[in-house]
Amino acid sequence: MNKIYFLFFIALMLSSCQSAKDALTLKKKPSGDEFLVEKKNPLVMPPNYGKLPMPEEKKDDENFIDENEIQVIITNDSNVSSKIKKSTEPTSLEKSILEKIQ
Amino acid sequence: MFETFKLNYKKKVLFEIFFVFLIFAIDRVSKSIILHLSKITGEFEMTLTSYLNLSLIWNRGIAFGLFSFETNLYYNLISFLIGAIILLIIIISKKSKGVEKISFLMIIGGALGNLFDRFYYKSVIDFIDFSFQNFHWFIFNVSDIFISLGVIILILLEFKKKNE
Repeated sequence: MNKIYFLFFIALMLSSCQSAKDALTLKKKPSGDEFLVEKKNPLVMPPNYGKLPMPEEKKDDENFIDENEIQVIITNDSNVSSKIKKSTEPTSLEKSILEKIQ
Repeated sequence: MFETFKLNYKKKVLFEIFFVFLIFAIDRVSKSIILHLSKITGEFEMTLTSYLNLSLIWNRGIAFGLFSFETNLYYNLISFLIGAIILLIIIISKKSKGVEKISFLMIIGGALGNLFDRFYYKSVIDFIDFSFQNFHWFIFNVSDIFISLGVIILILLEFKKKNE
């Protein structure tokens, strides 16, 4: 009989069941103070929202390829590439400005 | 002769360790799944059938939520007492054999699963909730199933021995 008592003692000590009441009463939930919750104003449209200027379309710099570059790639024309080089050289007006800056 | 006995003994011990570890692993996997599912809100409630629900609850005490102390001293004292009981069962199980041994191993595996929780999470994870209409049984875990099964088998064996 003593062994049976010992076995009951083992079952009691080693198992770990918990009353369902604690789960149902939501005892484990930390209760928040509803008075500390700050109310936010509802979202409203800004005044004269319709009059705002439409944003301009921006060119995507990464995808932008100059037409001349494409032409050089396709035709492999050296004249075109020289024209491009020429166009990149500073003009006389630009030169004078640069000199003044320096 | 001695060599074969030694080999058989080694195999036996390996099987016992594997059996205990298997129960421990089943318990840990089940608890990890529940913990993973409750990661977002910290809570977990799921109705599987009209009788079976999964509801995560943390138990700092022993069976039926007894000895659920908030102070660490009593909690650690109970934990070490449980550890001592497990050691005692291991010693007793060494002398047993057959179904009796399997029952003791089930108890050891389950008890280690709960003890791991006690040291790692500072409370045991319970999540199996049986209910019938408005009546709810105590929420338990996989370890408790093995411990209870082991104890029930041992009690039945004890009654059987008495009758014989």
